[in-house]
Amino acid sequence: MTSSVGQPATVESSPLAPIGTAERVLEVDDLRVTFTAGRTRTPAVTGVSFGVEAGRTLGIVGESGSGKSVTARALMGLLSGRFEVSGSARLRGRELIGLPEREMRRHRSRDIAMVFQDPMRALNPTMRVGTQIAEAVRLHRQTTRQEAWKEAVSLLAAVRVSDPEQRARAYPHQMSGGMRQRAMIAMALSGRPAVLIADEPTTALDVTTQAQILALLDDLKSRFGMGVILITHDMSVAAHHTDRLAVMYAGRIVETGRSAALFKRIRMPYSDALLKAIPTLDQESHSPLASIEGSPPDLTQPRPGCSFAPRCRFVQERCRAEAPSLAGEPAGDGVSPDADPGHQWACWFPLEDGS
Amino acid sequence: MLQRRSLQALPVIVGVSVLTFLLLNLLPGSIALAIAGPGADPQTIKAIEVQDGLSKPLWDRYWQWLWHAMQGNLGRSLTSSESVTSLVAHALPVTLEVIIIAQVVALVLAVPAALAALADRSGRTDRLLGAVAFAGVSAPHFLWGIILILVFSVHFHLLPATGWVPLTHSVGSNLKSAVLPATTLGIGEFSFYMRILRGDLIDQLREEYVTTARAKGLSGSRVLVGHVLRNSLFSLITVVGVNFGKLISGAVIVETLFALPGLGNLLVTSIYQRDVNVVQGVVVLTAVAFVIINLAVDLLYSTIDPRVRYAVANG
Repeated sequence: MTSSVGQPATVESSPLAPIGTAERVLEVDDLRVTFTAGRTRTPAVTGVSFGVEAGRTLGIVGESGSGKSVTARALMGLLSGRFEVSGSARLRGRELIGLPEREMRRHRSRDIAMVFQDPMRALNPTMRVGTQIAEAVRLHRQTTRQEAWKEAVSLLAAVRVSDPEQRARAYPHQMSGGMRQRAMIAMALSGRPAVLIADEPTTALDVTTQAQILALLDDLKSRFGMGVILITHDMSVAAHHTDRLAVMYAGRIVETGRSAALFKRIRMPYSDALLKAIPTLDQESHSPLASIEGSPPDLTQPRPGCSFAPRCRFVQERCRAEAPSLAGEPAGDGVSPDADPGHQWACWFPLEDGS
Repeated sequence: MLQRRSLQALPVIVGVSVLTFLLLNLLPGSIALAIAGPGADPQTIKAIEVQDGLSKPLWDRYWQWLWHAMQGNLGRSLTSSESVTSLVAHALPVTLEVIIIAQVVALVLAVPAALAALADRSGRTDRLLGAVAFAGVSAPHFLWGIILILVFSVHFHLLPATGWVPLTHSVGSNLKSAVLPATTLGIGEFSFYMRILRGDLIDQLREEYVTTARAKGLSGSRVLVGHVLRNSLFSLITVVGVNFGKLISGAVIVETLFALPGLGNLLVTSIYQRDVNVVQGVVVLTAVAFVIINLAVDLLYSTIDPRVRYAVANG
């Protein structure tokens, strides 16, 4: 691939460097989002904290309504309706939460960019794809229209769109789903952002295209040294394409840690249930698909105890009375040497090995 | 596409001409009697019938009319014996000017008004414009016409209440005589257009591409004008096209009120005088104009929306 944007702006680290040495580009601390409608208050995100490292992917996993997308949109300043946001999100040291729209606008796509779930709906149907990308290019740099168009074409080349000159002139409906999502990614890359949020980027695509888009994101994050937040409800996607993971339930992070270590030893019953909900090939044919009984709690009616308690197979008395907070293994309690010290879970009775 | 649509338009125009022809001839009272005037003796009436070919069967007369019409000859006025074509040629520019000014001004004001209403959604501006629009669509043309005449002609003496100065005579005086009739026609159009566009803008704002545009870092107003507006124009264009027809009927009232020598006035006078040839000519020409305008609207769709172009090219 040869193109002007093919070269990373800054190479922060090689993808093989051990976790922990990469620069933290985004630091989210105690993020809270509450929607208000009349007298009803919906705490959609409650005390979420995480970090995103350059050239690494943080996965945020959970069911619909768990607060994944709200978290992403709060970081972008793209929430709509009546809401309150508190907490902190520092991007390369600069606070994003509470910025007035005029200033937040300057950070969008230059520092933090986003790719959406359905690329058909996320692209303007009456504008050429190249024009939509060039428009973003011209927002960040003083260039002529022709220069911006050339840049748009090379961005399309960078996301492996074949025949980019031709494609740039196409309208969204003339492209396939995968092409459209590549175009969305090209647009998101136009400002060389430090952080790219991909909100269920493959949910609307077929399986083969999914794999290509995820591989592309993996490739781009190391080439551009971007931190990626990959939001998904698919545990298998999370397992293969993330470095760190945060499992969200009812607006909180209920388990977090390095993906590899976390998947080896899942502690929170909700994460475990999500993982078991993936159908596998060695499952007997026509056997019923595993699913999580019940539905996520109504956030407008706060109840004491762990929010997963009503659906948990291992629920105990304490779970219904007291809410557990996110914590790791107490030190010196027979911790195995290869365990992830950052692995934390919010559960009174975490799963043991083999359970 | 143009070819196919034009062919589809042909039966419409023929249908309209047949219908008007039938209706005019089925009206009670003979045409010859109307021409001869009340109290004319039977011989005179008979003579007129023979002379104008009115005694021939209906279909014969229709074919004859159609044959001539296709050659650009719409016959002669039964009352003044001027050619219908030249009568229309004198009246049409007046009506066209008033209608076009009304449409252009209504549109030019409706777009920014809708954007302003949207920017201040449910706020004071939005509610005020909503009230204006409500009044605008609720009151009929003749009411607005009378109010405008009272205010600008009778009270302030700013503009003439009646009469028409041709464009070729004096541009300034021409515009002065066109302002009140055009405003009378335009108030309702403006209100209608503004509310339709506002509604479509609100719908489009919920679309995901709006979030994408904002996520790029575009400002709210650039998102609105650069992305949302274009996608919100479809209903507006449809309505503008259909409204040309409505405006032609509005012109009948407004031209009578302001005593303008336009198509509407010509039509009304001819109907009173039973001048079949003129009525027939005006109605058919109006139908042709209406068909052409709707054809133009169809073409505009595909200019605005590439998906329409695609669908057209593929079948």
